[in-house]
Amino acid sequence: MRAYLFVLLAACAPEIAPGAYICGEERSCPEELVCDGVSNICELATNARPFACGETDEAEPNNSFAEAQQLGVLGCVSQLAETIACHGADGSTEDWYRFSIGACSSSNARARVTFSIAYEPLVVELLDASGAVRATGTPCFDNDEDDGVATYCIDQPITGNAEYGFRVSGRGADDCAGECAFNRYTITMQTYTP
Amino acid sequence: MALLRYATPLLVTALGSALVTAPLAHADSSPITIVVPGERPVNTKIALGGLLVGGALFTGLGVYFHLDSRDSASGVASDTFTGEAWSTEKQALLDDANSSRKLAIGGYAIGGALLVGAIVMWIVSEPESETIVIHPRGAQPMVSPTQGGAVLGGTWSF
Repeated sequence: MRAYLFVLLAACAPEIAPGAYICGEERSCPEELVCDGVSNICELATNARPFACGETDEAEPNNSFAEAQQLGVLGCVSQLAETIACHGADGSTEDWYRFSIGACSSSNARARVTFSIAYEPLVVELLDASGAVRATGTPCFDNDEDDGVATYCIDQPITGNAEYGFRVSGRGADDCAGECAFNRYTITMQTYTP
Repeated sequence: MALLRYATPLLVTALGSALVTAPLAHADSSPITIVVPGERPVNTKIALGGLLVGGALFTGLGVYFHLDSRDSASGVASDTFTGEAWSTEKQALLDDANSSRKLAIGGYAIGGALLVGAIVMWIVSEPESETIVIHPRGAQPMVSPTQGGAVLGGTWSF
């Protein structure tokens, strides 16, 4: 009788296996599980690893327009430039990517930033050489944070014969009160003629 | 038990006036034993009924919250990779499952205690039966002569 009652009551408790869920916002996980800093998966505390940037394509330092990672002179329609980078964990608060555009009558600059929702959300901006913000990234049309990843896009007309920069920085919120003020991200950049 | 006497007059001729008794059978027959079962007082019956109803009610609540907990748990439980991020909605489902689980445990515990109490009370309040022994006596004829005849009757007790 006692064993039957135990089994009956045990059936009420939801069983969530380690590795079943991707880390949620601010490294949230089911009870008794912890966010693994490498895979972004909810694991047992004994198996969870601290956050690590891993391998990146980023050329540090790139913490200002002057130090920005160069994408070179882009044509009116350029190839897609992709960079795997890390924000915050290496001490940098901003990552800059700089490019020039030739004589184009009409051209757009497009950027797409993808990052995990488990850590500090990121902001992507397009600035001109004077430092003025020309556009701020918004959730892309295919943004679906249910899979643990957020995607923000910029699609902004630019003028020819000018220099521009994409700046990636932390949002300053939802960062576990500062305990997870970092994130890995992928940024793709391109110019095209609309 | 009161002793009852019954006399049946019967006309018999050519006898004297004295009352004559002539037993026709043995005076004492085998005793008759009757066991009368006892009955519980009304208050005890009401208490037993209350315990049973209460036990059934709380056990039913336990079942309800058990099913509710299982329903909430099924929305988040998984032993394989789901490809989904943990969210506040999933956390709310988990919290619902845990709270319903606690209510189910409480319902089962209280319901079980009441049902066990009803069983114990049923056993303890078993009323004692009463035994009644009857000693029947054999019938005795009675003859009483009368003028021109006699009166014949009989007496017996029970």
